[in-house]
Amino acid sequence: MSVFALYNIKGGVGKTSAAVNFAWLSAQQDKTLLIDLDPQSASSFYFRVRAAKKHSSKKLIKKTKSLDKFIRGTDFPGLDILPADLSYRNLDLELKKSKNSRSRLRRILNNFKEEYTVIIIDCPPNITLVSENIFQAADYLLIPTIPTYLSELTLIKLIDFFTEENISQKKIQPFFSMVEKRKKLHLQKIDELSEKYHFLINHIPYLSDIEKMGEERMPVCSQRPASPAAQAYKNLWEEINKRIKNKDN
Amino acid sequence: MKNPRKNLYYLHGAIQHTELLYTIRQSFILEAEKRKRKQIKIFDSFDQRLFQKNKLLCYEDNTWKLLDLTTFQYEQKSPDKPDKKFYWQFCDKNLCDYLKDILNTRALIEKAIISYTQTIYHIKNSDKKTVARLRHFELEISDLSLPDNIFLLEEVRGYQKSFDKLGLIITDLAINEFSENNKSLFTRLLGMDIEPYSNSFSVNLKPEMSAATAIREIMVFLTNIMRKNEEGISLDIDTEFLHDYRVAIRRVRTILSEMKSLIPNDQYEYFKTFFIKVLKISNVLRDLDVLLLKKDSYRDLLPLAVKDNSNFIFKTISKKRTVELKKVKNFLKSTEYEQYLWEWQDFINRLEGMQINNEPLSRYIDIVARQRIEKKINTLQKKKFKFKKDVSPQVLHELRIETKKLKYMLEAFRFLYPENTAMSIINNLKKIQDRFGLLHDLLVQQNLLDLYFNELDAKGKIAGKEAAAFGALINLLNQQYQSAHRKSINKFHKFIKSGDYARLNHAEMIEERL
Repeated sequence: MSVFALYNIKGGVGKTSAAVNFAWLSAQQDKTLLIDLDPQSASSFYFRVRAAKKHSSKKLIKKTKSLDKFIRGTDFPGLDILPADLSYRNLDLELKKSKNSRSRLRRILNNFKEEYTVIIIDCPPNITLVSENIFQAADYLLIPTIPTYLSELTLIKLIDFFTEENISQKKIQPFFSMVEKRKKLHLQKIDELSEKYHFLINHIPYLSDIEKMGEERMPVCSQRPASPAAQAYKNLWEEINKRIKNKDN
Repeated sequence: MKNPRKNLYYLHGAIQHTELLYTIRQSFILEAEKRKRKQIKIFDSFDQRLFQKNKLLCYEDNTWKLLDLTTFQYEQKSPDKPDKKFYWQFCDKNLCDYLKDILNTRALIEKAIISYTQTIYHIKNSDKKTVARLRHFELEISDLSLPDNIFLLEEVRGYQKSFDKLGLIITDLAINEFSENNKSLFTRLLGMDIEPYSNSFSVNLKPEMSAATAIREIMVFLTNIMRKNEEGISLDIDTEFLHDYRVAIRRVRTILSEMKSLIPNDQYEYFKTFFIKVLKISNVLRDLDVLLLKKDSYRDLLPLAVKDNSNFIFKTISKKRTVELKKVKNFLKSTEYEQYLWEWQDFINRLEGMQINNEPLSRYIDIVARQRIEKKINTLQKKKFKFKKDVSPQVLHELRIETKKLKYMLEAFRFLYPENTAMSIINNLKKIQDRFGLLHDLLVQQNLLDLYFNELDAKGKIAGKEAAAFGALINLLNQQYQSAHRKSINKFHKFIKSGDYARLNHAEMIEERL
């Protein structure tokens, strides 16, 4: 089982769009579970799924063995989702109350290792106890980064945090997101940061097709497979898998 | 985690698939994917080992797939070439390991090719969310007694109620679900045999049967096993065909010799000679099969310096095997063999009629078989006191034959004893036989290699390194023999001394039954 988390301290960087499309791409090969941890529930919305009425952050943390009843199948075979609930805004508090508060999520995910080959987590922004759980649980943190000064700053902060907490930096896999090539600053930042922080080569451009996903409630990779947006996600997902395979070898 | 449910239905009779779709549309939104024409090939061993474990191995879309027939979930998928016959040829390690456990040396045979058109329907709720899926398979089959319209209803996780509702819709239309009640229909559809081949002894004997009837039943069963394996031997599908064929003959010989006092002596001698001849003709082929099956493990154990040269040995053995196989194939299709078998089958069929002039044949099999088994046990009991660890090869050989006969007799007349007692002793005897079988194989393999080496040497067809490889392999086999010999003697000593088999004696048996 491989666990990928789409994460950034900053919000609005394209985490959910990437999570939804990577999950769809992954499900074409492997049985995949998308976990929506963001209380905004955008991933769940994209797949037309709502959390069960009885589901809550408390259940997520405490009823780890019976979580399967909250998982929903999507419109796509091989792709399931554990939808988010508004109560996830209190996830930090629930984690604080629990034992092994930093490795709780890893334990939760262990329940799914027989069923799913790939797990993709759509994470909420910020560095909180939830994020620390994600850092422990994920094999790879995919960091969508807009090529701007502020984004660079947040990436540096994340790397520093990993150093302080003695977490392997190899987990961090940044990629450029919402790239507008007509903007000089974007091009300059891509040039500057690519090698320095080992960015993935492929990037996600800023395209209206991605924004339309909200209206169509479907991954762009499924709705418009030939579009440049779908192609960008596909190329990036292939690169991620290739990089992982190389590391494993 | 519990797998989402999947139910398989078939249309038979007047109901049209359009009627089903129309009814579903009254409660759900139905979105169809584009129809696709496909072909699936189904594979299993001759004895349907996978199907018996409720698994289906199929090849479709350039991928090997292992389907669990109880859940209709694909357990394994492996994109690979179609040219696979044995488990070791599969590239995917998980699939290879799984098939190894079940198939062992058995070859995969194409059981069926099914061409079909598939339409996937996404069944959606009013929110346009998929709540179930329906796969419609239109099969291209010529057998009119089989259904050609099949539906697989798939639950989507989290939407159990919709699945239940759809199940009711389908049932209300009187559409049949595949279940245990109509398993034979499903079995036939997949190209499987309803009563698959099995080499295990399964003759339904009753204590009140006459010896003639019981012997006839046993012999008919064993002769059928022989006959069922002949084609597989001739086509050289895998080595198990010859193995099962020979085991059936050995069982025939044992029962025949144990019951010889009941049958006319001239007939006994006549058929005994025939069966000895069949075994002799196939002896070398079986020995070479066993040697070649161990090829990889032997090669791994050879010293590095001669490892590559061992290919020469195995090529030589393969050539010899081709010659031996031809001998066996020729014999199996000879008039002599057919004539003997015809006479043998005629003799079996006449056995019951012989009772009129032959009183012993009309005795109850219950009594006759018990007497014979008790006699075997008493023989072993007597020899037990003479058995020492430094037993002579001759005595050991005799004991081995006695225990083997006891095992075959027990397998045939297991019904006379409490199931657990009989099975535990049969299992112990099997373990002993396996050990002695290994010893025998190692010895025979050394002799064969020695023989082939001398043949090549005499013709000047063997170079220095290849000769060294021969020497190294013979030496390796000898080392394995010595080690196996010590262990086998100890095991046998333990078994004989324990007198475990004596539990079968009459008095104890009655007590246990009471």
